[in-house]
Amino acid sequence: MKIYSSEVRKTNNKYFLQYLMAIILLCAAFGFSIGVGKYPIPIKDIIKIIFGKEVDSTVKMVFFNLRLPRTIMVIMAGIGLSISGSVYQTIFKNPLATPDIIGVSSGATLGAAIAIVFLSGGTFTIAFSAFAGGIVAVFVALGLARMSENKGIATLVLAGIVIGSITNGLIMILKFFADPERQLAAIEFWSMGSFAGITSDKMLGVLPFFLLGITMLILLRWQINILSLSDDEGKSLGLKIERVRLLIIIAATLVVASIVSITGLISFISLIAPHIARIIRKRNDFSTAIFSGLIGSLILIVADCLARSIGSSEIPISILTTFIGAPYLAYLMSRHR
Amino acid sequence: MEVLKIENIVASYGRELIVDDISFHMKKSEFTGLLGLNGTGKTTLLKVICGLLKPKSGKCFIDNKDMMKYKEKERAKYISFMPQRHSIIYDTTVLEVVLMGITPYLGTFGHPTNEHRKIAYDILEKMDMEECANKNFLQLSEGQKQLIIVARSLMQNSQFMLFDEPNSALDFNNSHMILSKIREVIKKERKSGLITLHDPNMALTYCDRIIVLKDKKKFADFYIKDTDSGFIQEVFNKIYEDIEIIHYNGKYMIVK
Repeated sequence: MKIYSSEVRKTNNKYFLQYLMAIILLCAAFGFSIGVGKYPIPIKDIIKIIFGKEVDSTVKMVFFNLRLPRTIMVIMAGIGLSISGSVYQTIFKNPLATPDIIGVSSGATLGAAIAIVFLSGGTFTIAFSAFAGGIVAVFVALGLARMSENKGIATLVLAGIVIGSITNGLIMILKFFADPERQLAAIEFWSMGSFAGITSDKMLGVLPFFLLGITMLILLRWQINILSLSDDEGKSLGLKIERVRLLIIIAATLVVASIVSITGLISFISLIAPHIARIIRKRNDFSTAIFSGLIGSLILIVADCLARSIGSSEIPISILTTFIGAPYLAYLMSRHR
Repeated sequence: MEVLKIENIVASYGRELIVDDISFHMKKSEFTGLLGLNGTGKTTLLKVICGLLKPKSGKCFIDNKDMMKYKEKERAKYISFMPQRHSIIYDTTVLEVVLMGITPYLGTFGHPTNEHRKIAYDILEKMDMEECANKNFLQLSEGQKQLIIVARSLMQNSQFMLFDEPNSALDFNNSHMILSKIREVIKKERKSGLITLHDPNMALTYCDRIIVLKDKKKFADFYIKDTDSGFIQEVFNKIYEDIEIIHYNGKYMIVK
């Protein structure tokens, strides 16, 4: 036990350092993200605001109304998408699985498209409709899977593919009939994601769903671990796998839907962050999932800072996440194993 | 919790009958080998006993309690199952794999405590594997991996342990190693083991009792110690054809 304890202490120390480093980087990125943009806020003003000192009222307005909610939302999105990506890769026993696998993204896009074409197209209407679309698509897929005799993971994936295809078909119909100048463009932009329109009202509106989902995932961390085994193995270890899997999928869907409903689709983070975390930590437990959340937030903050600073107008976030994430994954792949 | 009574099990996949009316009892400290050619229903029978497959008819009792009526979690406290191959695909430490055996004792939102970790470590120590505790399970040898899965079954602390050909992917040496270890565990911990095997010599070397399946039915059921070589030869001849039985070092062996 002695040797083992000292080994464990060593790994735990290493993990602690990794966490510490990620958190320090994240804090730095947070400060950077607050400062960067059309109206830059100098560091001394940020420090002043943090310590409650008086600053110029425009700076204060930009800080509290634009940058702070936006940066918090970026971190939330990074954490939520990466953790649910990790969880999906674990319970679907497939390192390529993402929360999209069961239809949440295509459902949310359909919801957004319906709001853009048929409803007012206001930002709150779009957010609400996208949230509902994501949740409904996942529940329809789960219901479809339940109708099958075989309750295994392959059935779930198939049901996800069926629902994904149907929603994509419906989206195509909406796009075809949409007004190309405004509505079609709005749908396309929505599906490329952006943090530009984030306000504290929107962020606080989705926060409860986000927290509920994340809390459920944290509580179910051991069960998520067991679901990485084959169904037979999980069952013989006494786990009610169908019920637990359902709970986990619902929790992850809440998290993802609450994010994408106000940001639009953000590609690649939920796939890449878990991989980077696993390559660094060489483990696949829940603490690695949380670590992947920190990594995902970091990538997303960098991407968002670039999105609002490199062009004359904002660049959709998914373009940047793809071009930042993919080369980094390629680099790690070539270095390890 | 002395005896697991398996009574008149009939099981099928769809319309095809796989197990036809099989009954026997599993007793304490007894290691039973389940033999038969491919497709005779060995694995199906194991899956029915541990609740992974619903039988068409028949029952399993422990102390007159009908196991089929038990929930997964309750059943897992009585019966453990080791599949042919584990399905771990992500990097996990050996201790965490052993720790998975505690799952039936946890609530829906429960997770293992440090006390459970200590028990898992003690089990590894008992199996002389403690130096592996913090290693990556996926980097162990195939034989060691199977040993760790046996340790996980021990963590489950169930009286009745089922094994589905744990040596099917192992070389000659590792096959003997894993079977002798399983036998040792069953004798030391006074468990009751049921194992499906392809090699009758493995069963003759390590088991106390052999049950032979043929054409979906129980064909023979005997204790090796109390059976003379003539009878064993007669039984195995009907399954494997043209075999000879030899007596070597106090053990029976069959050759073809």
